[in-house]
Amino acid sequence: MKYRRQKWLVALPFLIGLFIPLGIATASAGYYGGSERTIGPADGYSYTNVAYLETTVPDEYAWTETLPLYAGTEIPGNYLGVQASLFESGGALCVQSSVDWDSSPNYGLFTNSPVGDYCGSGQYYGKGWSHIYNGTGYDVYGTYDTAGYSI
Amino acid sequence: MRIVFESRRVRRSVVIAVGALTLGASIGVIVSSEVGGASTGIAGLTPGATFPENSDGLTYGSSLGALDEAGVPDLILVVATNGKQGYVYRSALNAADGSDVSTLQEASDWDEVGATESHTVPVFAEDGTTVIGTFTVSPAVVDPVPPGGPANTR
Repeated sequence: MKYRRQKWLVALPFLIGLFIPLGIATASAGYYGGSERTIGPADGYSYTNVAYLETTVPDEYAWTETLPLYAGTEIPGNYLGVQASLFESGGALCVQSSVDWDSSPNYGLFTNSPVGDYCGSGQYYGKGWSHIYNGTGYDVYGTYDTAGYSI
Repeated sequence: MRIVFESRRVRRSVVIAVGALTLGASIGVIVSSEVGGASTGIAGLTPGATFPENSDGLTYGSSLGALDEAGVPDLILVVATNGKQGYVYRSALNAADGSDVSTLQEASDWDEVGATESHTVPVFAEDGTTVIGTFTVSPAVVDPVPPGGPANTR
């Protein structure tokens, strides 16, 4: 009887201590942003780009956003292309979207890249690419990659 | 403030319970950081990393840490659709995903046709010649940001 009571005295606090951090980790699933990067000026325009990783089932993908540095600045059509990439834990590229431009003047673009089932579950990193017109051609600027999160 | 326990037995029980709680919390924090937490990055995949070369002098590795085209190796590490890891040629990937567009008109043309379709490129072993699978570039799903919109607009 005494032994059984002591067993619970150890097991109960141990389980409480174990599951509180796990519960916090599970509840924090969502989308996670990397650091913002400033780009330019390129042909008179400056931008910021950033990558995100979405981990809320069933929305599991990388997405990226490129905006004019000064909100509300109108970017001429096809001056800006965006592309999202998802990497698995070893740094292998899992999924990458095509680059997409908007032929119309715009105020920035965002795009996403879904998880490839063949990469399985595990830790992933999100990254984006901005293709910026410089007056004669395009320069490519990677975002800072997100931290790694489990999907 | 000093807590006085009624007996040695109660004090011992409290010590055991606090010890178990601490042990459980420590294990929980470690496990949760592995299951759902952030990592601090991958060694060798930081911006400016140098890449090894294969027998043909082509660099190979991950493009995760790249901040510009110069930071991307000749052979990019990918997961093929069959689940195997291998490499795609940077030039082939650029042609497949529209990265090799160089004029405003080409961008417009790509936007209307190329960006709406999937494109497949071969995946090679490290030697750059042995095909081990294929890699698929997904169609772009792009959305314009509303005028003056905040950063998180999706």
